[in-house]
Amino acid sequence: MIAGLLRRLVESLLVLLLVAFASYALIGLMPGDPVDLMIAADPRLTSADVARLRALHGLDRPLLARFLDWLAAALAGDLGHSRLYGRPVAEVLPPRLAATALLMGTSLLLALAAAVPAGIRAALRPGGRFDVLAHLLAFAAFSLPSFWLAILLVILFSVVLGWLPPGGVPTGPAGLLDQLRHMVLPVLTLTLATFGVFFRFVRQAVAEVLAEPFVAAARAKGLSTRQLVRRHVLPVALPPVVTVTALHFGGLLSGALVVETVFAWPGTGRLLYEAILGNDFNLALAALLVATAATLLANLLADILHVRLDPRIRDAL
Amino acid sequence: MSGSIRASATPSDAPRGFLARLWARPRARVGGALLLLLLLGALAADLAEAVWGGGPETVDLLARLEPPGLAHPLGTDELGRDVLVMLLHAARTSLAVGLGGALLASALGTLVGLLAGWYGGRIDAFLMRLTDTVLALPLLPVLVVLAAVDLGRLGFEGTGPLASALRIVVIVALFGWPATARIARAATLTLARREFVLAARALGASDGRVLRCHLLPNLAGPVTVATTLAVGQVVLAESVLSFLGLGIQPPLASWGTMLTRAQELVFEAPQQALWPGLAIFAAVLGANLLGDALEETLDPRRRTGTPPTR
Repeated sequence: MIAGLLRRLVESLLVLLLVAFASYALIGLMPGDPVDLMIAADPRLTSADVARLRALHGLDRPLLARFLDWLAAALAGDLGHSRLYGRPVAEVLPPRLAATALLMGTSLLLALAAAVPAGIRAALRPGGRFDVLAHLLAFAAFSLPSFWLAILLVILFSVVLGWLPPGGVPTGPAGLLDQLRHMVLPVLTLTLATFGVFFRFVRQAVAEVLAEPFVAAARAKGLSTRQLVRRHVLPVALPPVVTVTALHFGGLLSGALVVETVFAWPGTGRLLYEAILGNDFNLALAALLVATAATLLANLLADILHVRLDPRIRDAL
Repeated sequence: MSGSIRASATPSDAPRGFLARLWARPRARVGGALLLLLLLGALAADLAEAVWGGGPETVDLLARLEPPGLAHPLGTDELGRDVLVMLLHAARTSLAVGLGGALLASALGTLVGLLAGWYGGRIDAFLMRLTDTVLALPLLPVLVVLAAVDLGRLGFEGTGPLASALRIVVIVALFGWPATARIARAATLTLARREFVLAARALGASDGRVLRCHLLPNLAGPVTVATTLAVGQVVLAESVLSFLGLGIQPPLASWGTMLTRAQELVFEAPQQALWPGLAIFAAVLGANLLGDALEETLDPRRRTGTPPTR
């Protein structure tokens, strides 16, 4: 099992390396490389100057050599300088990561807190009124474009009712209450967008376990539904739910990018978007790699948790 | 051969046709109706433009942000363009991109799944590892980066509104194939052990012929389901990218870009945000409902009254 997990870890690192190289190559293809920008800014530059500038910044060297240099620097903790912020990328990134973690963590917890009980209840009476209703809601929730949902919530709570700020975070010293008020709409959007997916996971997992013969046996012994669910169903049904939840991390991150952009939430997704629009290659590369690394880590974590929680597959890895 | 099979089933318990079984599901009816409505709207875009005027490229600054009325059924936007006409033009873009992207992704996925399931061994291990890897990437961040790539530097003439649509189709397909690949692989694995495939091989059919003539047609069901569901995902991805300004470029109309402008006007004209979002929702919901119903109809475990096909 340890060997299997180690193999997965090495594989994840390889994938990260591949993504890093691919992004490095791709970002070089974006409009406006630094020298082009300098040419646009100064019409007196001659083509000889351009060649010298390219040589000075190492832009005339082969792609792989430049990538290896970047990689060596990155491993030493130097992610380059952000053009947009005029600060080292390594300084810009951490507060943004914290903001995203706060947004995603809160939404994840809330979505699970709603989806797990709802999924269990729906699965206990398949085809019942609650099942049909929750299913409909879940279906609508994951067909809903999250940025539209965000705009609708802004219209309702900020424009019409005027209860909540339409976005951003409090500037300067602000009380906890003000912080929370700015969090409500982004968190609500992301939670609603995630609920549908999680509800389907839970409902299906519980329904599958309920069909097992041992559940019928436990029921025949006279266990109440509550005892049955807690002692016999959940221990079997939850490990797959934990796994798919962790596997959905990438989806959650995609949702966070949209929500952060609409609500001007200073997170990593919006940072990546700003960096792309502002031709800030170092920053874009770092943000994308952090997002990828986090997603791969979540997948790895999913495997570890699954193995820990589910004795049946302990030898499978 | 086929006569003897048909004789064994009496007319009364003969399965109803596929379409009849599909139609029996409310989800299929609602989903199909939503998609059909949008499709008809897309086809009627030019007609609507002739009636109400104001396509994506006509600007009438004297008629900015007019409320709904006879002249403009859904009002006008901040440049005086008819919102309904814009919506219908955007339906064209979104449905074309959705369908194109879904078909391309499914074709890629089917090919990968077929090869992985049929050849097995190292090819299978490599292709499935690739599939898992693509699935594990954070989709939207990757799409945002890819959408910003300047195709001109790769030697393509990446300008013009049509190029922006085509680019979205390719990008989305590039990351949309893994779902289909998994489904196609699973189906291929079970099919490859069936007697008719063994018979074909015993008769000396080449790999290519077995794949083309015996496996591919039998994948049609699951692949259709995956493609239908993919249409919704592609429409969603396109609208997000367009909303972020990285997808469909004006003057081509798109629901996503309409929402970008609506967001800026959220205090002056909140009603502008209603229709484009509703259209995206309808398209995605329609594709999801229809795909779900298709899956249930095709799934033999849920069939009733069907004699086992051996």
